[in-house]
Parts: sequence; structure tokens; C-alpha cells
Amino acid sequence: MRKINSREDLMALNAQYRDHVLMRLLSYDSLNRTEVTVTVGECGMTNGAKDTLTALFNEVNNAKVDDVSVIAVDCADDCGNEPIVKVIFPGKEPLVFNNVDSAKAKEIAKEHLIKKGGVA
Amino acid sequence: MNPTRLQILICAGTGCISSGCLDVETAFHESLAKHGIADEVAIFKVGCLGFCEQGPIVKVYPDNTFYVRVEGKDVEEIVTEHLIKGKTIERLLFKDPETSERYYYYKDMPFYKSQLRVALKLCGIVDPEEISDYIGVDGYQALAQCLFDKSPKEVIDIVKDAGIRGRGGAGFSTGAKWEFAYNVKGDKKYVVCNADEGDPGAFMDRSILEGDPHSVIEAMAICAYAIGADEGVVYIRAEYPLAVNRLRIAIEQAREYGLLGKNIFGTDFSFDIHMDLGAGAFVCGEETALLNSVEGMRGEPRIKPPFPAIKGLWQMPTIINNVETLANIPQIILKGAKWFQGIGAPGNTGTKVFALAGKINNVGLVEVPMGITFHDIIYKIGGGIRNGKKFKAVQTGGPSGGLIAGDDINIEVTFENLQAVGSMMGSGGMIVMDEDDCMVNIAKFYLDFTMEESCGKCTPCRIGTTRMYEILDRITKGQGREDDIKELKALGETIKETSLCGLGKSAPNPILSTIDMFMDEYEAHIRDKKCPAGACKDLVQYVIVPEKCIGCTICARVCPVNCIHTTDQVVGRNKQLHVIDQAECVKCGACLPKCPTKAIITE
Ligand SMILES: Cc1cc2nc3c(=O)[nH]c(=O)nc-3n(C[C@H](O)[C@H](O)[C@H](O)COP(=O)(O)O)c2cc1C
Ligand code: SF4
Ligand code: SF4
Ligand code: SF4
Ligand code: FES
Repeated sequence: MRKINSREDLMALNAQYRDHVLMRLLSYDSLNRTEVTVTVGECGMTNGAKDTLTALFNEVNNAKVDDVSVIAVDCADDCGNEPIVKVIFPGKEPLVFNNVDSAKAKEIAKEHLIKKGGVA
Repeated sequence: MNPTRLQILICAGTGCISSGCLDVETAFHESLAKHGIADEVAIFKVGCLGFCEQGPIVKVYPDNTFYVRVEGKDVEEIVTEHLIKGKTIERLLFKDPETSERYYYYKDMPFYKSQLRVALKLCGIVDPEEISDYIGVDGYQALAQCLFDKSPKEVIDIVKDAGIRGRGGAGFSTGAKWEFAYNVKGDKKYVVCNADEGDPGAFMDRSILEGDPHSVIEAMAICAYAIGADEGVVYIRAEYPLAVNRLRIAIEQAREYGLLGKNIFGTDFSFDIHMDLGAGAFVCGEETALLNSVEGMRGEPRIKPPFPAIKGLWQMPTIINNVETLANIPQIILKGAKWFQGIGAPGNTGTKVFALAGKINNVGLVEVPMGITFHDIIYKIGGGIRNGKKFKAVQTGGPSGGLIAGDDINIEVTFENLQAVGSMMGSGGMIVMDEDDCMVNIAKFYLDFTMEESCGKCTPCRIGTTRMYEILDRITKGQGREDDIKELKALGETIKETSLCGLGKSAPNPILSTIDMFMDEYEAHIRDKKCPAGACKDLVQYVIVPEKCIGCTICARVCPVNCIHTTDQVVGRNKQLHVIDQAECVKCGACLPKCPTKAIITE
């Protein structure tokens, strides 16, 4: 039954539906926001870029940080190191991480996005 | 549940639907099925992204690639190259007409770069026909917060503190208005959403309803809770079928989820909304005329006071808010008054949506922080004047507004600044004019509109606008008289002073404003019988410059009335000079672009 009878019902539906819109919300309007890019070219995808991306999405989402965008980008022509994750703070040198799997992605998110997530 | 690997956004606002986005959608479904990746890629449709001229627009997430002018035949390539191989298709990226630069991302495009989307935030993110999307982006949480954590008075205070002023034109403090209705004792109160949007060229309210109807529904419920209402009406023009349909779906879905109806969230707050379709008269956007129309009477304005917040629909306290005003409310509740105060200018907080049109490179719907300059809107977002022509003026406030020209385009956009230069914010039409636009003609255009739309209740508005129109019409036909300007000014002042409603009170504005700023153009029409911009057909003469004519006969062959004749004078290699017989010429303009030596000019 979809009928919402309490605030808890609404929050449960929010959690259920959030994933579907998350990708659009997070990659939307990255101006003045911290951007995290993941290379999803052919090599990236064969080396698990999809899991990396999903892990980043989930971490950022669960922490409810509002000013971080997660964006998939084209192959960086650096096949041995894919997936490559870059954390780009507005107006600063990006941090680059090679061969990022989902575990490493979670660490990056915790260390650089959520703790310092407030950098706007 | 993990998100699908990719999502395809298809803009399905009115603009993109008319340029064929539904074919693009069908093509995507077919192609994805053919390649066996239909369950990896989600397709969703959104409301207008504001860039209709470049439509249909398709975005690919999470890459965030922004494709323009996508046709059904491009879809296979997007699927095989982009979705499967991850390669961006360059030719479908937006190309700047001035610099020829191509843009991969929306945020880099000058058109979007200086925009700030608050009221339009979710237009382009949520599928307006799926309430689940709206709930997924924290929809209806602002309402829940109000019902569980805040008293009605606290809600009103937040809206007041935020400083938001009505976006329907008058700029009255929304919180203060809500407070009036709150303070009136009464069992029955109403919330009305004004979605009449009659200003020619404006389409911001339509776009919000097409792209994000739930924000407006949620805001109406919040307002109802704050003032103690249990019934809402959306007054929307029937000429907006897509918006009407999406709103209907949204209301039905909200009811189904229990977000409208009895005992919302299990509390004792009940509220429901119905739609009232307007016939599309401009005056029905005026709040009291709107109320009459909803009550089934003629859409004529009432005398104020009493104001609707005290005695409105069926004589009960009624809050009437514009669509765009309402679209800001849920975010103000969720993010707080401080957040909203941080946007825009002091006393003019938040953003404003404008429908940017006219002689400008990028036309479309733009949302900007208040306090931005017209210069930035025209040159940064709009990409400057089309075809390298010279900027002349910008019209805001539609038929009630005026022109902003010269150095005034450096003023910051606020309700007060616009008024100070003789225009007004209005609902957000913004038409940019270049050197080819004749100001007398523009004034005539707007007056034609208000004259037609006057409800006729007051004599000065009914007769006065017609008189003014006749004078302007004469002037543009070369029959102007010396005292016309004096008479226009006098009539204008009388109409302003003696009209009952805003339509009449502001109808003379475009004329007074053009007289004020472009007196020389009026004088040229009246004294010299010339239109400096070359726009008034009756005052234009097509002539052939003898020195340039090579006697090729092309012009004579395209002239529909055969009024281009040869003369005895020899030009070029044994050819005859051509001349235009002014008495016969019907000024169709057909000859002008055909002349190979550009010998034909207008003067
Ligand atoms: C002739 C005339 C037409 C109007 N048309 C509209 C309209 O189409 N939409 C609108 O929201 N307000 C319109 N208004 C303003 C409304 O009367 C009213 O001020 C507004 O709906 C209040 O909402 P707000 O405080 O949210 O701006 C019009 C006013 C006049 C005088
Ligand atoms: S001012 Fe004009 S539109 Fe307004 S009530 Fe009078 S006649 Fe009608
Ligand atoms: S087309 Fe131009 S050049 Fe040819 S006859 Fe006409 S005016 Fe002369
Ligand atoms: S403007 Fe039209 S009618 Fe006049 S000369 Fe040219 S083609 Fe003939
Ligand atoms: S309808 Fe698609 S951009 Fe406006």
C-alpha cells in the first residue's frame, strides 16, 4: 500500500525512490561544487568502474552532503590505471587516485568528500 | 537497489515536444531493445530545460552530456557510440553561434553558467508524471516538517524572514500576505494559485507546472496549513494543455499517496486542490478578476480594498500566489530563511525567472539571482545581440512595463530599480530589441494588446487605450501631427490615474516609456515622416542607388507588381539603370535581398 500515513512512511519512500533520481541530482549543476569524476571508458568498465561509481554514489548520498557531484567521464587513455577517480575542489589542484575499486572508493569518499564535504 | 548504469533524459516541455522529442523517445526505446541494453538504461522525461530553441534536448547521465537538436535518426549513433562505447558525439553538442566552440557540459555553457536555479531547480531532474521522483528528491518533506515541527505562525515567520516577494508582478511580501489571512478569524479559507500567465511571450509558470508540478502542490498545502485553509484552486489557462494534464496527473498521484485529502500524514490537517480552467483573458490574471472568474462571474476586477487576503473567494480569506512564488516555498522551508536571504540582493532576495526573447543569440527560460545586471543577462547568458547588430533596448514587464536602454542596462534587477527607470518586473517577459526595432511600433504592439484585453468596465481604460492606439497607428503611417505627443502623454496620465485595475493603470507605460527615451524617433515619424529603424512599412522607401546598379534585371523579375522599370541611362556593360516607381511599390521587400550588388536600399 502506497498511502502515506506518517512522516516515517514518507521517509521510507524517500529512501526507496532516492536511488533512481540520485544520479541526476548529483551530477546536476556542478558549478561551485566539489566534483568527483570516475573514468568509465572500456577499460574502466572492465575493471569495475560501475561498482566504483555506485560506491561513490551511495557514500555521498548516505552522508547527505549537498555540494558534491559524482560524474562519469570518458576514458583517460591510461588503461593500466583505470578506473581513475579524480576529486576536484573548486579552484584547487585535483587529487587523483588510480585503480579505484569500490572499497577504495568508499575510503576516498570518507576521507576527502564527507569529512571535508563542506568545501564549497 | 543500485541505480541503473545510465539514464537518458529527454526534455518533454512544450518546446521540445513541438520539435519532435517524442519521436526521439520512441527511437531510444527501439534502439535500446535492439542492442539488448534496455534494462541497463533508464529513460525519463522532464519539463522544459529553458533552451527550447535548440530542442529536442537529450542529456546522458551520469556523464551529464548535453545534446541539442537531437532527431530520431541520431539515436542509433548515441546508443552505439555513447551508451555502449562511451564516446561523446561531438556534432550533437551545443555550438556557440559566436565562437563556434562546442560544449560538453551544461554547466560550462554560457547560457547556463550565470544562472541560478531555485524555482526551476527540479525542472529537468524529476519526471513530472512520477511522484516517486519528487519524493526521492525530498519532496513533501517540507510539508511534513511544517505539520510536525512548526506552528502555522512559525511557518509564516520563515517565509517572512526569507523575504520572498510575489513573482506575479507586484512584488508584495509573501509572508506578510499570508499573515493577513492567518489573522482573519474564519472556518473557511482558500489558497489560490495564479497560473493565468497572460503576458505575451512569457512561459515560466507554464514550464514550472510542466516540469515540477509537485513543488507547487506542496507549497499550496504549506500555505493552507499556515493560514488555516482546507481548499485550494489552481487557476490555469486552458491553452496550456500539457501543463493542465501534468498538473492533473500530479494532483491525482498526490491524492493516491495521501498527500492531498483528509488527514494528511495521519494528522488532522486536510487539504485538497482542484483546477479551474481559464479562458485566457489577460485581465483574469488580475487577482480579483480571477476570483470573479472562479465564482462563475465575468472576469472583471473588483474594487480593492477589501483585499483577497481578507475577503476573497466567496468572500472568504484567500491567498493568491503566483506559480513561481509558490515553487520557491518548499525549499525555503527545507533550507531555511537564512539560505534564501543569501541569494539575490538585500530587500530583493532569491531569484527571478525570465523568458528571454528577441534579438539575442540565446533565447529561452533563464533563472537568475536578483541583483544581476541586465548587461549580464543580455551579454553573458543571452550571448549578446544577434548578427552583430547594435543593442537598443530591453522591454520588461510585458504590456504593463517599459523599456530599459542605454546605461540603464547596468542597473541591478530589483523591483525598485525597474520602477525607478520607468519599467517594472512584471511576470518576467524580457524582450531584447536591436537597431532594427522601431520604438513607436513596439509601443503600438503593446497597446494593441491591452486595448484588446481591456475588460471595458472603466471608460478611461476602454476608450482611452483605443484613442492612444489610433494616434500611434497614425504616426506609424506617416500621418502624425505636431501635438500628438502631448495628447498621448495627457491620455496616458489620465488612464493611469483613473483606471480601476492594474491593466489600465499600467497600459500607458510602454508608450510613456518610449516617448521618454526615444523622443527623437517619435519626432522623425511625425516631422520627417521617416522611420529611423526602417520598420514602419508605410514610411519605408525602397530605392535603387544608381551608382551601384548594373542593370541585371533581377529585381524587376521578382517584383510582384512590376513597378521596377528601366531607364535610358546606361550602366554596366550596355545595360539599363533600373528605378522603382514609388507610387506603385507595395513595399513587399522581395527585391532587396536579390540584388547582386546590394544596390537596393531602404530609407
Ligand atoms: C492585468 C493584470 C494581469 C495579471 N496577470 C497575472 C498573471 O498572469 N499571473 C500572476 O501570477 N499574476 C498576475 N497579476 C498579478 C496578480 O494580480 C497578483 O498580484 C498575483 O497573482 C499575486 O501573487 P504573488 O504575490 O505571488 O505575485 C496580474 C495583474 C494584473 C493587473
Ligand atoms: S482598468 Fe481596464 S481592465 Fe481594469 S477594470 Fe478597468 S476597464 Fe477593466
Ligand atoms: S537587381 Fe540590382 S543591379 Fe540588378 S537591376 Fe536591380 S537594382 Fe540594378
Ligand atoms: S519592394 Fe516589392 S513592390 Fe517594391 S519594388 Fe521591391 S519588389 Fe517591387
Ligand atoms: S521544452 Fe525542451 S528546452 Fe524548453
